[in-house]
Amino acid sequence: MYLVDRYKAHMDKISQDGMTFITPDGECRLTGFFTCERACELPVMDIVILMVKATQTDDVMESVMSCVGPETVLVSLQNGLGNDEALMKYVPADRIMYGSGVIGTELPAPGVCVSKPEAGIQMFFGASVKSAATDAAGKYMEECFNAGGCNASFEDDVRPYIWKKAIMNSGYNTVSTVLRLKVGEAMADEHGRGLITAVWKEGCAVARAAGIIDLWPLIEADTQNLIDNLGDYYPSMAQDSLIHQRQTEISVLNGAIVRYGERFGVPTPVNFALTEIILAIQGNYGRQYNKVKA
Amino acid sequence: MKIAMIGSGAAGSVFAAYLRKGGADITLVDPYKEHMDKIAKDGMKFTIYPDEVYHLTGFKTAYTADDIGTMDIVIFMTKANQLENAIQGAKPCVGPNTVLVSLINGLGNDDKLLKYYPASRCMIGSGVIGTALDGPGGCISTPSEGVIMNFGALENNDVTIAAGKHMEECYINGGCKAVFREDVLPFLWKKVVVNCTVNTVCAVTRLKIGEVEADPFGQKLFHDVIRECCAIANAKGVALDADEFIRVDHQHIIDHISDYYPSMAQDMLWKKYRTEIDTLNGAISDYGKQFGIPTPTCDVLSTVVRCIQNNYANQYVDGTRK
Repeated sequence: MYLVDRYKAHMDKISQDGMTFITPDGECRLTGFFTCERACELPVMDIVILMVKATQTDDVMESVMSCVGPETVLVSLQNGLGNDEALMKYVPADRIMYGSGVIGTELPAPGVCVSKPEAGIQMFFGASVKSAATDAAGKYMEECFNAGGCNASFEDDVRPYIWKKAIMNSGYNTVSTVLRLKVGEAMADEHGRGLITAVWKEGCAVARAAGIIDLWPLIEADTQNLIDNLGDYYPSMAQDSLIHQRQTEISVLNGAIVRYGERFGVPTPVNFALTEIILAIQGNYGRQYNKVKA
Repeated sequence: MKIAMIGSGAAGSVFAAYLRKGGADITLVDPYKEHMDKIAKDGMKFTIYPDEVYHLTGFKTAYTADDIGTMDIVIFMTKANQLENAIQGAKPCVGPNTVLVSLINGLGNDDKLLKYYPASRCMIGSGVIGTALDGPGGCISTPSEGVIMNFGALENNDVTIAAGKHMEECYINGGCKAVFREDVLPFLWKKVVVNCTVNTVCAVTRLKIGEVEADPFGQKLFHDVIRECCAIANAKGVALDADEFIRVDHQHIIDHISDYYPSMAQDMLWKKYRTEIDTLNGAISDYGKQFGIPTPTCDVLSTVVRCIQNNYANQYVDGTRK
């Protein structure tokens, strides 16, 4: 396993002492990682997994391509929609896999990481276009994840999982951010819940037009679960926007729903308006009114 | 002419004070007893910011319109969401030739008047005046530059023109630059479109007008709202061209008040008041549904504002994680 990141203190600590891995079951130390700061320091890999923010994919790929050979399978486990297509300009679709994890993660100190997995399937992935290469890579990853204690599933058709997660995120994540409210607070207000539901319904209509199963019943069934698990949190985009004041993942969430909507002829006005609002906000963090005035 | 001011809070008191100062026969109607009693007993202390103070006497006052007799002009200055109740409550003072006037900000006030009275006896308008109460018996006006009061009839005829001319004369004599307009609807719609645009987008993005305009996505939001509002205005029979509005009217705002949080942003960001969203973008959304015209930007913005104003106390503020 080769880890690549610019966070030098983290890389150095892991390479010297191994990684402290904290899960609900306890803590362990994992050794045997090779670490470096740039992918161009690596030899050719069998599998390259991308976990940078979706908006940074193109920035890192130039360097990443130096460890990609003719047989290498590229895997995006990044959030959002369209990550598979973003990789198609670098390798053919039969060497691309994509998926996503349902795991809360933290990095409290260099060399230490925390996993807070949800119940059930915690990791799913599948091939863009199935081939011998993706089959081999997918089965190998599934085997390693499961042996490592992560309930992973190599799916024949990963799209319903990816889309359901992205659509749900586009609702509660984005709306919470615009409202500056926790998920539970947004869902408890009729207007907040109405807006989230409108985002979800547009997303499901786009997914249907894209030839994916009707996701609405799945999302509806998962709503109480969302409130129970995330109700008291600022979701990731709200953290990006309100707390850290950094670029959000809007372009691979609501922005991607809008783009796929255009492609398949499905109107997505609510996602469009929310995307515009977040784009206007994230270009102006330093100017935003953010104080309590007397 | 006998004039009743139905709703004499801050704005109603200021609007009535100018009329009284200009010689009008005014009856104030408001359930705020201390205010009515004080004015009836000692007159009204009327301050025009920064340094003019007048002591106005001769007001009649009442808690309701039940026993004030038939009026020639009835002006409504309630909150927009109380207008219909006020129209019903004012019936005892309305005769067959009484002219009904709304000077309340926002959209839809004309439709509410028209539910009860014919266009031939209705007028609408609005003022560009900051207003505040100054304890019971007092009020303060903070007027803008230039014309600060505009009104006009929904249908021009002898009755409405006489009422409009009389109000215009009293206002001007009272020191308030007022214009009785022959064609008031396009004028008021332009004001509403400005408010729907800069008020709401600045409130939601928490930015000043010029900061939104300088951001390409912010400017796009401004323009989207303008296009939706103009489409609704056209459906209501008021000709407004979106491109021309952007080039002329919106640009005028950008050129003159870019370093400014508009009133809804003030309400939302630090005053924590209920906003006027229901009579601005919310009303555009309602008209959109009524006419089958898509207004997605106004739909989303008004929903966002309605949710936020229900949740001021819960909102994330100032880097402090609750």
